[in-house]
Amino acid sequence: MTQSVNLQEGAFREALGAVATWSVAGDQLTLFGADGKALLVFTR
Amino acid sequence: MRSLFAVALAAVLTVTPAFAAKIDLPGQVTYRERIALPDLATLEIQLVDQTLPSLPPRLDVKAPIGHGQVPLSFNLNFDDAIIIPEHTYALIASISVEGGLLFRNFEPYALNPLAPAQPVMIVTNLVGQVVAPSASSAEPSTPQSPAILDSVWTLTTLEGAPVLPRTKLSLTIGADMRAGGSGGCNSWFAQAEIQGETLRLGSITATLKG
Repeated sequence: MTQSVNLQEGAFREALGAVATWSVAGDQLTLFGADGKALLVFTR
Repeated sequence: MRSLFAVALAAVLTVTPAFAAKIDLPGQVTYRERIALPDLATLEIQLVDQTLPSLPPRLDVKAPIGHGQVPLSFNLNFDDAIIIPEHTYALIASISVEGGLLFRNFEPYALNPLAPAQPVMIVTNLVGQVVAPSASSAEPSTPQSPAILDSVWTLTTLEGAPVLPRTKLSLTIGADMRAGGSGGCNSWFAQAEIQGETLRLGSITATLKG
């Protein structure tokens, strides 16, 4: 596994732990931090 | 149609220093989509402390929009004593209908609340669906599972950056509130707590492949 994939995985888990709110619009899920910043955007 | 309305706030302070000054912070909220707002829409403006994001917003003001359409004007009025000079602040604007979030700015609007650069124009992003009123809208609604549940969500953007090529990171939350997915190499698991639009993922555990 490359270092960049490792770093991305770590950042992903860190962002998941910082999630405070969520919103779904159609097929898009957005997870926000406590400061209102969009941390993670998903599609299904 | 342009419509103006004002949001005024009397900030509640247990102790207000005699030298506190009243601050007016006017601004506007808009969005780019060609969507008319329902009459029941409300605008919420939060002034958040970005230095201590875990703190509740310094201000949190909601007001009905009525028949208004964007751009929506607001005016925050507060004592300067609630602002900590060394901290950084930002505004978050949310437009909701009956508790359902429609628009919110993804990036908090950073500003100095004591001397904001004008004009303050917050461009919000569509995050919910506007449902046209129908004849059946007056009927009692059936409680529905949160839309976040029971889907495999594939990550596209991580803190504004696209995911690396040939990696797949995912999230699934079941009705039993068990969350998990792929972190790109390892699988992860956590317990989820959902209340309305709030979500908290408990301690995250992961496999150790890589």
